[in-house]
Amino acid sequence: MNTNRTIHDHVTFRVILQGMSHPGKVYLLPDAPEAESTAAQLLGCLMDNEATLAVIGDAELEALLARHTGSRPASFEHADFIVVRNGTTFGNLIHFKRGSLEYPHTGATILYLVEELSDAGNDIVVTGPGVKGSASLRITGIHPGEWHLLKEANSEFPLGVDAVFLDRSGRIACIPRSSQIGVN
Amino acid sequence: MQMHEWLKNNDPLAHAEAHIAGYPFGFMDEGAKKEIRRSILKAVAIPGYQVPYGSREMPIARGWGTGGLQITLSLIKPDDILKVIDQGCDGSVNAVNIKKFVMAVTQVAITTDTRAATLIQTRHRIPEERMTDQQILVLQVPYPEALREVEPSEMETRRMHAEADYSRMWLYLYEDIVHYGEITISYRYPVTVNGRYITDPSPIPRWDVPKLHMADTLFLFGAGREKRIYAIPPHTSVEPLEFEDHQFRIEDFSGKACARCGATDTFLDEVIDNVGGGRSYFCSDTGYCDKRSRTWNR
Repeated sequence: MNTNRTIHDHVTFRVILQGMSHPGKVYLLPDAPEAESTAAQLLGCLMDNEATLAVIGDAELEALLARHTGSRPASFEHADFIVVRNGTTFGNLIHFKRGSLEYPHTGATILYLVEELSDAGNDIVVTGPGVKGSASLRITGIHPGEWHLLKEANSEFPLGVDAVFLDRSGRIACIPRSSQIGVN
Repeated sequence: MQMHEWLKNNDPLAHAEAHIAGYPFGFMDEGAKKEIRRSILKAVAIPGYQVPYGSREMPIARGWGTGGLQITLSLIKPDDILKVIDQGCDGSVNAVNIKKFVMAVTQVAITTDTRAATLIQTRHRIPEERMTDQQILVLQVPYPEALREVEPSEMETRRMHAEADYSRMWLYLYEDIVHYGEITISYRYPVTVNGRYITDPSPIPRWDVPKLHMADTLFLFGAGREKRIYAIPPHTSVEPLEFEDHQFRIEDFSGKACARCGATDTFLDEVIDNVGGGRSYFCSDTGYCDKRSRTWNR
């Protein structure tokens, strides 16, 4: 177990920042204390009591993650960070915060906990800022309907939501609202 | 349910490690760093949009690079190699002080070589050597609002950005051309990022503006006094404002060369000899000039 959480947070954030500035590329988070803790580790370097959190369809996990990261639980319509398990928001994505034209940064960040991320496949093709040409990746463990919802939520740039995908091996990939998503 | 169990069995990890020079790694409290990190991620996701954040008190005065410093301190990691420049110079007072401070609270290594650095904080220049996708450039910004020149009200500039209503900026440039025959903005030249937001590239010379376009590197902008963070991600279109018949152009140094390293392809500072009145030119990017002069003077 890594006792120096401060430095661990810095290293974790750099990986997330790399991911967010290179959409569709897969990056590996630094060693987590245990495999089950990667989501807490990822949220931990970003969240405090100024930020709100919702977990779709799992109130117990919501309370646990909020306690662990020192953040406040909120309904998914108001949450800054939304954790999605089992690859589906059950159609609720359309109600997540997308920000306002004056303050688009108040749009939500979605953390999808998926099975596996790989840049070998080309199920999803991402273009836009941060991407040289196009980036393709395969994401297993996400409901295909989510892509339609995500595209819909991000159809009015600068309004939108920013998605982070985290797999079971601690790999992440990001698709911010500035990206165009193609589904094969 | 494994994650549930892990979370139940483990207390939140404490920030209980040994301090460096009496401060936590990165100097700032964790809450400050986390807010800045959230702002940086949103800034990257909305290229060119200025994200408001709660700028903290730093041990240097506001207006002396606190915005850049706060970004640097929230994302630096122990294996980073840091370079800090002020108007291209590694050795100026502002750069040296920031460098010493960051070194004291993080114990990272320092370099003057652009290629060797992983993280560069800069005031008003972008290094001459092309940076890679593994590097991050943090720019200190005095005035983050490109529209402030034409509109003093923050509420109004916010509305203008929201509606992409940039007609007054274009009119300002047009009037400049009518008065002087050309656009007279020498530094802080406004750019359109990702075809959406008009953005202030910080007071870099025109020479550096094309380096922002489709770069390999992430550019983060921090305005500490004005409490704004914004970003230009890599591979993002950055177009200086121009008209079809009045195209953007960079400074012209034709016929001039650096008196120290002989460079004819760098941004040059003009130095006037106080005694003789003669003019000579030197590279503004001292790290690059050092590197070149080592081979040129041999």
